[in-house]
Amino acid sequence: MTRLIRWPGLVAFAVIVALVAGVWYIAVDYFIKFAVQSAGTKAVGARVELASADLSLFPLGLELSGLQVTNPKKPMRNAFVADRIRMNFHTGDLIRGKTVIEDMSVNGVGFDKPRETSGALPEKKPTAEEKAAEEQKSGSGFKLPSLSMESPREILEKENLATVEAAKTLQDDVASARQGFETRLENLPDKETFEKHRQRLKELRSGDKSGGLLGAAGKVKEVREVKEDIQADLAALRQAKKDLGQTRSDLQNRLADLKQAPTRDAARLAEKYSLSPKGIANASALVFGPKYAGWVETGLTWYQRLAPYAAGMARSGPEKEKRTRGEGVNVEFASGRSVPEYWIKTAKVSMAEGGMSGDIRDLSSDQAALGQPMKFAFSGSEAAESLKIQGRMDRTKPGSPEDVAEFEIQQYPLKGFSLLDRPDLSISMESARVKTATGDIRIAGKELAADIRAGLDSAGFAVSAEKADGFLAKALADALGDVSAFDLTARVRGSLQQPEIGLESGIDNALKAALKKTIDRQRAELETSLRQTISEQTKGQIQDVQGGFSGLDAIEQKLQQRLNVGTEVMPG
Amino acid sequence: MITLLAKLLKALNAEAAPGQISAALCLAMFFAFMPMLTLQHVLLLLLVLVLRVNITGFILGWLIFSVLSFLLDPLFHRVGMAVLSADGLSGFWSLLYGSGFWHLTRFNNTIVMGGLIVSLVCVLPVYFGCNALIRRYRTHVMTWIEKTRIAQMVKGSRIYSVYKTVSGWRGAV
Repeated sequence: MTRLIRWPGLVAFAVIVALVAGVWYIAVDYFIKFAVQSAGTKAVGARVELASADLSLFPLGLELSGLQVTNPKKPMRNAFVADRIRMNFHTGDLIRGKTVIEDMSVNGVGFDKPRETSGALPEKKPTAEEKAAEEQKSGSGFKLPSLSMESPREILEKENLATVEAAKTLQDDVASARQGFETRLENLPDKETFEKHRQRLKELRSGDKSGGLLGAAGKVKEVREVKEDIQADLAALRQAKKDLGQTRSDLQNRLADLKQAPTRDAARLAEKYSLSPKGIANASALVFGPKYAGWVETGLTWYQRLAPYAAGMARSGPEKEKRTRGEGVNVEFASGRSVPEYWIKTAKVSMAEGGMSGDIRDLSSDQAALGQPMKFAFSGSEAAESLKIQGRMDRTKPGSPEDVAEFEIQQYPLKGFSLLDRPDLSISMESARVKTATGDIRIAGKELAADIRAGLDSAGFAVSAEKADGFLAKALADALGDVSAFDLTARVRGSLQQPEIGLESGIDNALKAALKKTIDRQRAELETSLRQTISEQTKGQIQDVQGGFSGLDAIEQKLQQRLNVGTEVMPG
Repeated sequence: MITLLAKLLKALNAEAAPGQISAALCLAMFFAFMPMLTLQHVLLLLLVLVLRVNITGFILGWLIFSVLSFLLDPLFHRVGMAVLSADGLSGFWSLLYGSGFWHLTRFNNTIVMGGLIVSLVCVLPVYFGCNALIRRYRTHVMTWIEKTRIAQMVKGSRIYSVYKTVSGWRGAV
């Protein structure tokens, strides 16, 4: 036996095992902290930081302190913070490779909190897919009309005028017509031609009468032939005159139309550069839309980012098809109960401010295997008289996933609530109270449907514009100044990638009336100035076109003179 | 310091019989062909330290078989998948799967199972093959190496003389 066994090896083994266990125990907290930070940063796309992690063995649990998740779009703000997260693991399942958390508590939760340092990651170039998604997104929000007032001269400097184009074309056509008729006139019978006819007739009448009856008959025939020639020449002249008249009439009509072109140009440009009444068809969207669209966009971004973790959307089936070298595939076997890779049975969450708390149940990586959807319910009565939100993310039937959330708020005060913050116009609700607000949101697959109804009172708005004479700001301030209570209905339809947002409010009509009056006046003023400026700019061209008609008149006179001569020569 | 290094070398090069080196290489093959940390690795480490096998041979074998393991990964995966999805064994695997203890072996991982099967198939050929090779090496190649300039330089060094004193070694076996 001693020839086979090396007894000091047993001591060496014990020492190695103790050393490895000691190093692991010392380093595991740092390892967990690093793992949480790197996995979180990768998932969020901005820095995720953790103050400390503490793994305890008896009972097997983990405590994370000082979690900060940066908002990727605002790197100086944290989208989510938590003071302390404590979780207890199921030891048996952990050995089986399943992270099952029996209970979890998350305290000091906060949203949108300031950061001391930027949490942005080094910039990376967006992929083609990300660019396409961004372009798609840009069309989903509310687009506010331009509020800047440009002068007619500034507008005309960058716009092509239809008047100028039409004048140029007409001028060319008049010149071309004149050229055509002048050429035609050269080939038409003139005074000389008719003089020849006259001479021939004279000769026939005063010629030798000795030919007898036969001679007289021959002369009659010749006179008839001359008459026919004169008639043909007169017909050619009359046809030319008729054609000239027709062409002149057409060109005159176009000239008359050209004189109206500045008016049309002015109307078109006024439509383009002034705030059209169409732009305020939904006046409440003008005021509340940008904020609401921002919420929807932020909400959907976070939903799409976190849903794969919250509801196991990342998991395609019981077995991973793709594998990397050296990792293999873990084959699952039917055992007594099906346990997902991770499963938080209950998480109790309490907010740092506002007295809101609640719980999340059955957050797992495989709801179909678990047979339970993830459910959440929160409530609070500190910031508002009553605030409730509840819902579920259901992936128990992978073919028809459905996420639902409902909320109800009673008597919630608002203060200094910014609605629109643009360089040229800002609108804020200095104070208001949400009497009641209810909403339900449903996401089935990629289809989105959300309806929110809110009633507000004690509202006070503040409107300010960059320019002191901001006509729209003034109109809005006047209209909103009279509003103290209103209701608001918001809805979202469409898909996660292309949400269609709609807003309606009781203040629509009041806002629309006030804005329409101002906008109509501004538009009329702009149109008048544009018309005057365009008329001034195109006056010379139109006069040139008119001048071109004198050439046609001269041709007509010549044709008439020839006709007069021809008629005079024609025997009765 | 030199004495300490010489003692370490002695420990590493003890048990240098062909059978002991071959056994160390076989254990290294098991160790390397299952490329994840499992309960088997702890047992293998215990065997390497407690059984009288050549530790240097084990370390060297581990390095060589690790490279081989990387190259044979697709084979391990295929063999492991075939064994784990065999109809006749599904009841047995399900029984093991239901127990937390067997999860420590990671038996349900395709390359762990594949590596184990391939190691089991190869263990006897590797053992007897290595034995034969070591004997041939010592008879033919070792004699030639000892005559080379480098070997002469190593033998002339201080550490070698201390090592000889510590181990009582007088030359190749």
